[in-house]
Amino acid sequence: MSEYLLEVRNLQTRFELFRGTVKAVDGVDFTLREGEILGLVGESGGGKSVTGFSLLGLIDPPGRIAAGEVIFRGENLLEKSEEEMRRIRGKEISMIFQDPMTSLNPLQSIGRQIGEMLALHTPLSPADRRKRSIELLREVGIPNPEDRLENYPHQFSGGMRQRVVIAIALAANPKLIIADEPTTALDVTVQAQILALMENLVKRFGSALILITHDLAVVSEMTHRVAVMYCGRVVEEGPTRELVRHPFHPYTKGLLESIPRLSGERSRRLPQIPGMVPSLFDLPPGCSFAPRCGYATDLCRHEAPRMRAVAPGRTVSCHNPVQGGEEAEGHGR
Amino acid sequence: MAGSGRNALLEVTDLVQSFSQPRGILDRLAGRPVKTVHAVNGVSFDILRGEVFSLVGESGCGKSTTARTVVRLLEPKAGRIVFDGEDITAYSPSRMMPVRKKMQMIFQDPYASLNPRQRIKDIIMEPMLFHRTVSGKEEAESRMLSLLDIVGFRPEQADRYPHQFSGGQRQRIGIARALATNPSFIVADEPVSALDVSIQAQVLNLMMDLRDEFGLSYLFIAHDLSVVRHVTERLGIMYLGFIVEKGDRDSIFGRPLHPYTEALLAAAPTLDREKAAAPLQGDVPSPITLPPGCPFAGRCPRKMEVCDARRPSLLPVEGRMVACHLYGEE
Amino acid sequence: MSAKKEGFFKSEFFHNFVRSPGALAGLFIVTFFVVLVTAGPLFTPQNPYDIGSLDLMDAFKPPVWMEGGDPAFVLGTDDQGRDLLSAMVYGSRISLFIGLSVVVLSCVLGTFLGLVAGYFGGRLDSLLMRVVDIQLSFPAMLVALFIMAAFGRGLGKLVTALTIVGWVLYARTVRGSVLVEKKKEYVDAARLIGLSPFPIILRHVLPNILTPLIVIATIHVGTVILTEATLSYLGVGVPVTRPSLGLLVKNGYDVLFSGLWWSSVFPGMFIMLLVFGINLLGDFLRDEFNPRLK
Repeated sequence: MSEYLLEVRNLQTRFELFRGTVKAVDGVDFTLREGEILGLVGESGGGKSVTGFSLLGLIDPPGRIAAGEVIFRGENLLEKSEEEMRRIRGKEISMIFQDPMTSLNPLQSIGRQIGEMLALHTPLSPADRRKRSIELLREVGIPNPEDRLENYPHQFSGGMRQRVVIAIALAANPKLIIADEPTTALDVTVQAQILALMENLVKRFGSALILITHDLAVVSEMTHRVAVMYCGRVVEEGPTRELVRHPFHPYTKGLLESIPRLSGERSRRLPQIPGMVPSLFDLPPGCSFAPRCGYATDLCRHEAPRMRAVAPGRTVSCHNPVQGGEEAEGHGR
Repeated sequence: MAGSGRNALLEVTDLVQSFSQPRGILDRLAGRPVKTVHAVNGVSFDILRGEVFSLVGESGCGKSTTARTVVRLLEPKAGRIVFDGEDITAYSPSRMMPVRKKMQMIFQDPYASLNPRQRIKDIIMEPMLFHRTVSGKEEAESRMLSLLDIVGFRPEQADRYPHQFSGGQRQRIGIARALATNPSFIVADEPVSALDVSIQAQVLNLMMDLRDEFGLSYLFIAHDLSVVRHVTERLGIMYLGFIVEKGDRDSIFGRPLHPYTEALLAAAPTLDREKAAAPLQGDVPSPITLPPGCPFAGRCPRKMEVCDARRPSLLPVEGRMVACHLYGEE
Repeated sequence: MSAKKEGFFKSEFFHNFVRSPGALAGLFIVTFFVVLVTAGPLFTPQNPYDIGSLDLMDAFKPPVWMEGGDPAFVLGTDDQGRDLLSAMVYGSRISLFIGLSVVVLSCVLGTFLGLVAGYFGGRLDSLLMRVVDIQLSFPAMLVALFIMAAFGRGLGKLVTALTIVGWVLYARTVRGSVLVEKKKEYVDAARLIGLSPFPIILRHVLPNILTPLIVIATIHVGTVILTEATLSYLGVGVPVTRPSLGLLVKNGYDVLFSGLWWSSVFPGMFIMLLVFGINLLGDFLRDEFNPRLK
């Protein structure tokens, strides 16, 4: 068997819209081992959410998965029928969405929603399901779980609701959890709680986690590896600590530098990446980042770079990776 | 410490704001009391000319409500607002008119803060024409074009509609609009929270450049401490409608005294740390029933008995103001 | 500006419109009726309102392709000896006139009240909504019937009655939209400039709530035409001298089952066709303007 739990190769997802075709995911590759936490980072339009949905086959027209392979435990998910995928969703691969209010059914008690997940994917009896639901609620840190089973989503605060969502996602003990911006809608102190909880549970249950977010800081605290996306492609991938300290791709470097820090020196002006993210309808030729890149050459403007290894465990998609991975300036650290 | 005297552009004293939730007929018949959301509970701060002052906190702490009350979008329930020497707390709409030229606002949501049916040139010219800060349509247009240039747009783009621009661009249009009448004071309500990271830096830099060029003062509302640290000179940390710590940036970030400030700093994800610290437990309590003592007592890791009983007042400690029984006299 | 015109024909709306069989059919039907009522009277063989030109001896002549048909009366005649074809053309005019005028009047009235109630809220809003709720709990038909029965027949009275019945729909929708827009920050920005409520309502809020109004108004035209037809059928609609399509149906109804079907059926089919065309357009507009999820 492969050493990887998940291998994504050349994933391409397109949306055929009136204004043109959007290549939301344009040849994405990455791997994931069991129990690993991978951060999928990028700004809006980068393709990270669409990647997450594509893994589970949750792309509806006008979108479609145009090419690629998603090898999960040795099998290509993209070749499976909808029925087979339904058996996988929830049981093997679970997803957590950003807004807990819309991902929970407001008209059903949370006990019922957890129970439904258990009923679908486990052979437990109703009595056992109830016991397990209470256990799960306790695991995610909800006080008095026996009483709260009957409560409805609106009776919980935002942070509590997200805990319920996590409980549901973990109910059938999936091997892989995909979390799409799970804490973006939450307050900072609550976010910290939820992230700590997720990290804890993922380790205990032995699941792998793909954390999709725009927040590099969150990713730097929680993930083992990071893949940075820009305009539908992965531009850099590697172990988190190293990538954050020594980015190779100019975009990653620019992004890290433009984030204000909580400590250390502060400069009058934040280094900023010039220009704007291009419209996905109108991508520049060659490297999508070239128009904004301080290191761009003519080659960059004509030929799109391919992913290649530049150091052990580090891959970059760039013709001129930042030399030796200069330390991202902490404003003159 | 608090600025005061001739140089204070804005002096807010003991500001109170609350909202009563309307009762349905059944509740009224059953004699249930009106539920009041105590959003702002006696907030005081000053902003000097040319200064950036921030109010920081999580959702429900009252920072946005304070900002909206300061510009009289909401009527204060109590307290005093003195702007540029005038007590505007109870000004009628007509008396507020000349004041409105001098104070403007930048909003959080770039997708809702511009009228989708107005061209951006009209969005920017509207305040100028209304307040007659220009002598006519021609001058308005030329001023509008120069503002667009300052915020980084080309003249051809003036005829377009908001939906043709990205979030960051719309935010810059909002900034141009705020500058239209040459104000001295701008309230920025979470101006970069809805923007991508790489655009945040652009907009923040623009705002700071404008402050330097036009001598503006900002009331900067945010929940992101690292952003605040970058732009502000002084700040106030809010919790449940109270300011719990207030002072200059370096003191507070360098050595936070209030347990909530500590918790906020510890919880904020940052690239500088490798591991997040143990997070603060519990949820923000409801602003409908305020706890009798310290608002933070329910979650405070260093709570003492007195904290549940008596509400601490803001007292000067180590060069800033803190409302906490751990410091100051009993 | 030419840039704008170019823009429309390249827009997604136009693109979808010409590819929607329903929308095209609806447009075709509605255009047909518009042409019919504007140019038709010039070409009809007879002016059915000119009582002098009618001859009761011509009553209930069958359509030309049936036995006993008269080429002068292609679709036959009604109970008064009117040429059915001409009567239908003039009748469509009345029906459309009523439809459009009721919609315009109730739209203006309802929108105004909805704007005011939504923006100012408070007691004004509560009062208005109670009125709307009360009125909506009575079937529209009954209310119109009552008014017409009380005040007698007449074109003006009919339009008034249907407007009274019709404004609530607009008021309710507009109020809902205003509540949504009011929360948006561009309204705050307008207040912050110092604008007073009415300029804000007219210049900022109103342009942004037009879209659902257009959909409702379009479908409402069809509803009004049907309501008028029913009222006329019941004898409280338009006056007998200038029959609308509905009244024509009534006039032929009495003899419908004795085999003289054409004077009811043809006008009835016309009503159906017109309303169908309007509904096709309305459905397309509603689907087009539905905010789509990304």
